[in-house]
Amino acid sequence: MSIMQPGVDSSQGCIDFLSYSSSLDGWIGGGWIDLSWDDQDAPPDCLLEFGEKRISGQAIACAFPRADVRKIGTGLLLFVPGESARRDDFQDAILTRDGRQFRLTPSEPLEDLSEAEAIARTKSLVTTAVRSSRRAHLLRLLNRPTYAGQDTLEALQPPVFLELDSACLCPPAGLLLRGWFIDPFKSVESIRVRCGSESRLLDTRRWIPIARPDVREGFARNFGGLVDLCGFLAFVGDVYSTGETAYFEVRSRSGDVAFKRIPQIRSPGVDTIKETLSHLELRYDELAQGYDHVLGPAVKAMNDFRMLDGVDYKEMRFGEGPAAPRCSIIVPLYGRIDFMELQLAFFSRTLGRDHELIYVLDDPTMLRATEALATSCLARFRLPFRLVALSANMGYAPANNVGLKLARGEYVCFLNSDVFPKTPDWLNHMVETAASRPEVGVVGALLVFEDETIQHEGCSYEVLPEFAGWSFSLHPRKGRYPGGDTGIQEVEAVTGACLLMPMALARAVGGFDEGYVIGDFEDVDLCRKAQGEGRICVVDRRARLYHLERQSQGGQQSSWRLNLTLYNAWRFQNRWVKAAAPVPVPSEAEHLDSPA
Amino acid sequence: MLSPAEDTEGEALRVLVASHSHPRVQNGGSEVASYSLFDRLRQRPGLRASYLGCSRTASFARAGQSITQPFERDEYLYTVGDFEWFKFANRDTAFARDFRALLRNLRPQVVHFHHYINFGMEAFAHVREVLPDAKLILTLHEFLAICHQQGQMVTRHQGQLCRRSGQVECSRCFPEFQPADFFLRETYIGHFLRHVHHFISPSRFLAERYVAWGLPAERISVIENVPAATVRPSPARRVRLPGSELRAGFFGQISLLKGMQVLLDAAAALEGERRHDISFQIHGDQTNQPAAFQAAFLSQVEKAGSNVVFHGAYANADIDALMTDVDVVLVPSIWWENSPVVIQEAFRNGVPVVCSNIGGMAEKVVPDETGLHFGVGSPRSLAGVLKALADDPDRLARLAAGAARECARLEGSVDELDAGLAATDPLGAHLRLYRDLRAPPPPRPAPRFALSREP
Repeated sequence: MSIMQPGVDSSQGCIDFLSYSSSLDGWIGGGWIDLSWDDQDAPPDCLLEFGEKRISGQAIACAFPRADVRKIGTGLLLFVPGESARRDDFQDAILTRDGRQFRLTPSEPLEDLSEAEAIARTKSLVTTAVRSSRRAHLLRLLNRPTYAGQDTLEALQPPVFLELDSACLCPPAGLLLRGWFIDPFKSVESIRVRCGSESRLLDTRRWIPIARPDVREGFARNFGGLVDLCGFLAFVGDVYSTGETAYFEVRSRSGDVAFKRIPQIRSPGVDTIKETLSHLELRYDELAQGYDHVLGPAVKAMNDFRMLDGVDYKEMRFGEGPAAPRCSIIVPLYGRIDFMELQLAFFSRTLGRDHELIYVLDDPTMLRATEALATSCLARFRLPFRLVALSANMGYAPANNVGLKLARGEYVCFLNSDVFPKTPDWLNHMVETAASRPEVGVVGALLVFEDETIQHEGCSYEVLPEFAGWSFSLHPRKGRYPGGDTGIQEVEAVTGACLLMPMALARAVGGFDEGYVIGDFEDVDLCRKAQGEGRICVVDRRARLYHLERQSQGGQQSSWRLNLTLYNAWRFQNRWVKAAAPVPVPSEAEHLDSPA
Repeated sequence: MLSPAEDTEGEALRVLVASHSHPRVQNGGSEVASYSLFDRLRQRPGLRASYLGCSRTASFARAGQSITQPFERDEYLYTVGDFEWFKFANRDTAFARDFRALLRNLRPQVVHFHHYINFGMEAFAHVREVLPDAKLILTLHEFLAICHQQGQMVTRHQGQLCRRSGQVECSRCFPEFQPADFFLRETYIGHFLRHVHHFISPSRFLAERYVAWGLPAERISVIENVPAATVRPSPARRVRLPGSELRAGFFGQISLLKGMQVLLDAAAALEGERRHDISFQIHGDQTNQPAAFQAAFLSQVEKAGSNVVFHGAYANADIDALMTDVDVVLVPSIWWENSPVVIQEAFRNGVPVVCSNIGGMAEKVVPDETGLHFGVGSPRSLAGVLKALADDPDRLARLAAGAARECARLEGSVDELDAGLAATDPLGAHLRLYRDLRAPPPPRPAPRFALSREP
């Protein structure tokens, strides 16, 4: 129900047909209006009401002679720019000019014309109108070229060059576009991406510029003033629908329109995430801009799609573990499966038989080798464990969450495969700390490198200006020798390399957030969730293990890997840093007493 | 009379000697040493000895069984399966099953390993789990736990002598492994070596290296390899007549690390000096060496003067006969060596040894008593030592007498041991160690030959 504006009569006309034109980016309609309407050039404001949704804009209104209503009014054609809405919800159109309002209500029934039919009908009617600038304006609009499957960009004058190297779907309807654009005479007014009935502006101020000296060099003979940063990586949301052709519509300042098809659109996956994040080096403010408008939504969409079908896995038992384990140790495996052999060897004489071990192989290419190694490990070390093999490489959080689902312990300890016990009683200490203090939600350990210096004794957050002022979790005193302190200390967060929680809490907070990709920030995110439940994080320095750090992820960080970390950092900022007041930093002296 | 090793209740002491190979599979020094120990043990009254060797080829395998008995009743052979060489992990599931079954069947009270390759480090855990009361002894033969370069402690590419391993240093030799990988390797090996009750090192030098690496000094004894009992020197011993040539013999594998280049360069230098009174008799096999080395060796022998004679490979049974025809045995190795069997063989034949002045070989040869040292890797030094010896026949005779005395000491008299006297021969020392380890814990005698950790 529309709310009548003061001074608006109940109805001063009707709308007989109203259709949305995606090619014109607005609504085309026709009907009649009463005789008090003064057909003049000044364009009226128009409000289209579709239930809750309202679309308003400066309309083109053009009267035309109409015999059937000549005693009470005149025919009227309308174009109202704006977005699409459900036509069935249309209630009325309110035209406002010179302080006067006219309300037009839909005919019963409102004619259901396609976009093309509506354009054709309007074109034919407008020719009967008296010649005027509004008639000419409407005709020019209706005669605007539409995409007919032919690229016309090459014919545009002055010349404009727009090429795509790749286009990737960011489900459900986004597109990530990588290419280059040269507009030597600055003649382009706008670039839109169109597909089916949808269209979106490609905002060149919000894409990530990419240096393409090769492109600049190729054009430098013919055009001056070109710059290296003519490449781009752009994200366009909510535009693509499968089965429809997607294309660019380039409008020049002189009113010309040209089209160019967006060719192959790739389906998304880990590989497209890697490609997206390769060869980029964003720092300072460009980082936030790039992740807010392009990389963030694009990678999120691709990762959400990756997770859509859940995780398929198979479970294999090697030996019979305890029926009611005290603690379930969950170890994801990727690449270096020999770490499983080493861990089982070192656990074989040290780990209590009341704990269960679950290895989650997140590397389907290694399945057969891992099965064989697992069989051999059981024969050699005689320590029961379960091996859960994922059908696809899913990443750290999903792998751990599958383990969490299958775990039966009272406590759960998430452990990296490159972490090895230094003291045999490490797990008992951690369990004891969690068990004896109900306020403790997360227990970490003192982790050292192979040279006995600290790898982790708790995390703290630091704002890094070069990375958009985002908060990152760092390991204080890393690389230094640990002190003699064997106490338990509250910390801001704990590394997921060795992280123990009460099982009920881990499940209550939903385990690790799977929105982080491959393996960063999930651990501090989990700590935040536990803190959100009113629990604290501690490091129990009595529990000592070796952590070789990043061994399982290969050598030097590639650019995509660093950028993926930055994506995860962006997600963490959005989830925790922007959303909430910072968690109070515990003082360094704030120790808990050791449990008895 | 009660044997010192015999079980106190009169039951025969059961000893299992386990070696990474078997003399009938591969005739290397440590195989011979382990088998000699077994052979001597099984001849002792009050002892029941068994031998478990290994083979890396399937020649002796039976389908479904990893441990078979292709030779004699008390001898077993494990056909090696999936073995990981970096940290000596035996991934063969059949071994775990069959070895544990063999242990349950034989119930040895002493399990004495020579080497840990082919069995894998985990074998020690199997012994301790299946036989919690048995004593576990390991004789060390090279620096394999310490050094990934075939346990030689010689740098991989430059061939330089290495004095101490380290994660970063080892990663420089093997860039395909990170320092952390070497940390894990060492941790894995060390994790299982903890199960060993006592270590035997055939040389003090090797023992010192292992102590520096981290083995507890009080759990290592230096005991020489037990020499074979059956071989006797040929009576037709060569006597060098005044004015005749000094024959220097080389016996063993012909390889770069065995110092063949040093020998050939020394020969060339002497040829240049026209010292025709010194000759080099080379006995050995080069065919398992890299092709480039083989080609270079054969070419050099071809071009060498008349003072170099290459006799080719020999059978181990012929070694005594061959040694009667030389005046000195050369051990010019450019790696440390542990306790080369060829030194024992030379002494057994009353032949003094001229060796490089490093490591286990230098330790076994007492200068001016049983032989002479020269500067490692120096052809000039070797040539100088041989010239001096050629010019002094009396000295050569004194050294030959010293070598013969050392042979007598090594072969020893187990009767002395039986009589409760201190035995200095290797077999006696082994039996004493078995007895000491099996003695009730409080007043457990301090192991003899224990090393003290250097400050």
